[in-house]
Amino acid sequence: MGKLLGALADWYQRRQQLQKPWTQQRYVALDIETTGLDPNKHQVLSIAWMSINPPVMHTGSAQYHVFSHGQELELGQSPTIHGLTQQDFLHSSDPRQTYAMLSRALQGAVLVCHHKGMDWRFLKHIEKEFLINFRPLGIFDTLAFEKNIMFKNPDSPPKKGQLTLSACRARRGLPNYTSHHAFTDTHACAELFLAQAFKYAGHSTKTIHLLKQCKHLI
Amino acid sequence: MEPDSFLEDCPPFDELEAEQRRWAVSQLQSVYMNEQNCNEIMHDMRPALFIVRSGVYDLRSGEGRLIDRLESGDLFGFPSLLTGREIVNRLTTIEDGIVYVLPQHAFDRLRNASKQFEQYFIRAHGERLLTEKGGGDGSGDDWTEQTVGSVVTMAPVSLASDTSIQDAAKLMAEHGISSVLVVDDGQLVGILTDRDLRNRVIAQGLSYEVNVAAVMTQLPESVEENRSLLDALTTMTASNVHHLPVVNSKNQPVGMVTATDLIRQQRSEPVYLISAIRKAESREQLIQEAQKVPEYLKTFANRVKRTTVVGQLMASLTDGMTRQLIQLYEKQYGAAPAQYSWLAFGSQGREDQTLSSDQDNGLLLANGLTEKQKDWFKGLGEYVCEGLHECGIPLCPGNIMASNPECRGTTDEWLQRFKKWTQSPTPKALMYCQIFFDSRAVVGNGRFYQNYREQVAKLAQNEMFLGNLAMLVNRISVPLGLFNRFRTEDTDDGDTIDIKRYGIALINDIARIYSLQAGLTEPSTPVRLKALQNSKLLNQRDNESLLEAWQFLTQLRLNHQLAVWDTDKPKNALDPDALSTLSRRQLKSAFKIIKEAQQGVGLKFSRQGY
Repeated sequence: MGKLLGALADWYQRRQQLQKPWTQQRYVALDIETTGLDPNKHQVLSIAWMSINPPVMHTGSAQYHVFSHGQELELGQSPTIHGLTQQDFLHSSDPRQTYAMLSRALQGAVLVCHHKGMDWRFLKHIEKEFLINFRPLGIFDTLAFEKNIMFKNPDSPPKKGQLTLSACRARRGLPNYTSHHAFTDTHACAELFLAQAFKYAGHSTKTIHLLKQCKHLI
Repeated sequence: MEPDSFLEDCPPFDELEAEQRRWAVSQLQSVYMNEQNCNEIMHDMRPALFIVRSGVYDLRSGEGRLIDRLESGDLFGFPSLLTGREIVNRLTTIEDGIVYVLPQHAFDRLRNASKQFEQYFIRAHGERLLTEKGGGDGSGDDWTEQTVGSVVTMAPVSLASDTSIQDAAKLMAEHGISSVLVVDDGQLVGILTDRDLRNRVIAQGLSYEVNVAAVMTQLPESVEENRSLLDALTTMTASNVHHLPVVNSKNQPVGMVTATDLIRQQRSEPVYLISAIRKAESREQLIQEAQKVPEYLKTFANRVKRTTVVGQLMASLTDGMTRQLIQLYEKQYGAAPAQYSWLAFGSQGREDQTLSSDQDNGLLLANGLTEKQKDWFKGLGEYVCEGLHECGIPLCPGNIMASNPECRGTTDEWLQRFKKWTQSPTPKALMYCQIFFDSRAVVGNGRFYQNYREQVAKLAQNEMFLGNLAMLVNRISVPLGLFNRFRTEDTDDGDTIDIKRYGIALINDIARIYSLQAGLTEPSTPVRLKALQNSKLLNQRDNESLLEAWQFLTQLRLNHQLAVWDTDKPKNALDPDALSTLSRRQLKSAFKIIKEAQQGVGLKFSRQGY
């Protein structure tokens, strides 16, 4: 009973939290680079995240971690996948410590990513593997948001390539970041999120309303 | 990776060590800035250095005057970091974007860690961005930069003009020298060399009791001690001498510099190229040597720090070719039948010639020539202009060349022309003035030319004429738009700015007006500005700014020309977006300086005022 009440209280608190204006919320932009799409078969190569208190991005304290996975790492197609070279893996982080940090960072924050599907799948897998909870208040998917806003008309669905991170950024007049890298993509995603939110939400729009805009995923 | 890779190209962060820059990144915050939040952000986060990553913002003073339009790579907020004063400026957002914020403590630490980083902001704060990185990569020492004074070691050996030849010879023997300066009342009046003693005394059987005044070379060419070695070299080649007296600014001799001294000083080869041109015995040989000039200039330009000497060297080489062609003509058609000067106008005259400059020249002839004598000069003009063309100096599309009868005038004819131009300044006359007032005698009697040039200078000191020139200068608008943004021209080669027409030429025009007003006869813009240092009309700071802007633009143009050499791309127009962030900022500064200077001449010279 106590446990249930606790969960209820927690649910209520989170619910209240989402009623706050979006500009008073904390966000965590995240990007994961993996060796493939399937969390059961593929491994996380690197992960990066950064806190945002709109309009400020905490660039300097952004986290970036690379995992070497002992000897069993396979880089897949190319030795420089996602901009990572063997050199980068020499300074790799311990996954458990890293995920614990991420878990704390996500506590009470809204997760921001571009195309949440894959990142979220991997996070769920990590939860089970390391017995860690990732419990953000909600998820803001910059891809879903862009799709819902820019391609409302079902008769003209987005064409291939129109919803990539760089295409969405270009549409918002954000600079073109050439390197494809978890750290860079995290910044890119954070900036895109702010550009989208500032454009379509008023200063006091509730967080929950903003998040509803990206409910429908492709 | 971002944002490190961005800062790596963003002055002055490019001056930091990689380690320092990474540290700076770890101290950064970034903000998404738009019209609603920009002033709030500036207020909440200051004091801090703001670095624009994307978007466009206008920085306005408390009174609303536009200070600068800020775009990617621009910095703001640093004056208050340096002075501790409150920020009174306000921002308006033209386009939303990302701005990096470096807090005060981090800024201070970087300032302490890197001298260059700190210097950058101190200069930027004093609006003296153009003085930074004087040019080139600063590699090695540059012999052309050295002053003549620095290589003159011996105190001058001199004697009075009433010394007997025998005493003079004794003195020279005593000191073991091959030449001696003749000085009366502290002023240099002549030079006496071993060769003079041989040719004018012994060979003539002259008495050794005669005063040296009778056999010395009177009023020899000399060079001022604070001029560069390149100037000395140019003067030596121009007057075909190997000994050059060095004087101070009061024309008092301080020593002598010889060709050997110069060769000893330099490791590069301008002397050899110039002398190869001088030694050419046929037109074919000369053309062959001249073909080496572009390739040579390219390597030379990479060696010198201040690339404006390249313009001087190019003019020197053209002078050398001209002289050689004249001698070849004389060999074939006999010596000149009367006194004359070969004149260089425009860029050759000003000594800011480039690889793509075309010919601008003419002939100044003695009065009262017969038709036959005129024919000799007609032949000379045609021969030399055609020869220069074959040497790689393009023909002048406006036909300002000695091959054109209009450009071969007697002293009276030229003076008459200048009189007409200055008294009834039609647009065409004013255009001619911009070319013909920048003249220099390449060959011929120096005094003959100087007398004439001084009369021309007097004609120019005419208020109405100067007012018209000032109006003309103001008719060309600097390519900065309403918000200090570059205004480019849409051409086949992309969006470009002609930095010659809208930059260098305008500064030349402005410097010319001031120097005509002051009655100066020098053609070169840097020399004119230097001579104007104590001018009441042009204050010291504006004078320096103009010179800095001129040097910056000349250098930028040279670098551009070397980059597009051998291509069809325009030689004077460039795409500002293709420049480094620093050069773009400097280019903007230069244009701002020109804009103010234009308004300055407008106010001072033209009655309408601008």
